Amino acid sequence: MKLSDEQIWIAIIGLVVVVFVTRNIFMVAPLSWQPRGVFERALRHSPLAALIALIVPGSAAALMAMDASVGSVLHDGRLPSAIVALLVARVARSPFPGLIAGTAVLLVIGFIWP
Amino acid sequence: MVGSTVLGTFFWGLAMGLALVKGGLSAMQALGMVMLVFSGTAQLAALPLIVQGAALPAIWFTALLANLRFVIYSVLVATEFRGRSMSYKLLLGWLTTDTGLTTYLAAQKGAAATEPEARRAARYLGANGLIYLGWTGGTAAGVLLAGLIPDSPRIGFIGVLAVVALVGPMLATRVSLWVALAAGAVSLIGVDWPARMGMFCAIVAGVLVALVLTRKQKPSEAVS
Repeated sequence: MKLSDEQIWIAIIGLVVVVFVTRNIFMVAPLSWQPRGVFERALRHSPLAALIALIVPGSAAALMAMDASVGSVLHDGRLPSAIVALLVARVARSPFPGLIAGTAVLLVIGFIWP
Repeated sequence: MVGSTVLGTFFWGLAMGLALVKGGLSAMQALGMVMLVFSGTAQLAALPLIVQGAALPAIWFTALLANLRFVIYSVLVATEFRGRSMSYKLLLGWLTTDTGLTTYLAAQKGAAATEPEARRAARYLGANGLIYLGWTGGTAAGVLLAGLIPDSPRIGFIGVLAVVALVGPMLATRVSLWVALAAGAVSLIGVDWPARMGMFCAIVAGVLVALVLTRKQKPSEAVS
């Protein structure tokens, strides 16, 4: 069953509430509930873990396919371009050269092997 | 550092705008969702359910699970800016993004320990504010150009490459490498788990690894 326009807006408003509450829950929680020391320091790695979880499944999708081969992974372009972006950004110690290099690899593969 | 993140966010927004309109939302609904919800993962998780006409509580609960990592982030933001007013903290919390928080934490490494909280908060607001503009601008472009641009996965992947490039310089310590390996492995294992639970479990795995490895470190060595 398709949602009506009004239901879609109600869904959007509910999403706003969900996102606002999850992002702010410790702003209103008592200070004593907030983690300290080692745990707080470990939590500082959570954005890195989240970014890795955002990029790895998409980048490795062709590799994880049942019929994966070197050719299919190269043709897909996502894993080679991600590896180039990561290495260039790591060596340059700056994200921008990595983004440019990775995008160039992705586009060149798409152009020569559409 | 923020520049490439904003550029990548623009392309990610472009892909999101295309996906929302091609998924059946009107231009106003797509723009309203992006400007107000401002969460790519919550929107990506909710969109198929909205298109299928799922029950509203199911849509909201799925988005809640997809966004559980922001509960962890809110601990960091609340601790970092505890001296700010409640309304300012709520604004900073609502604007929090994965990439904005990462950019801020990296910049903090080079900042003086005595830097006033007000200036740190302004930097955090600036980083996430620019990402908000990149995200909404990209989505608006995607909504407007939905009839002209073919639905190419390559366009969306440029946004992913921006995040890959952001991660590159962060992999400079032993702890961050192990965190990345643990989170990456769990994200692959849980790639098909419902409601993006694989992503949440990957974060938990990364934090657990960091917890074990940082137990005996000094605080200054612990931040990636």
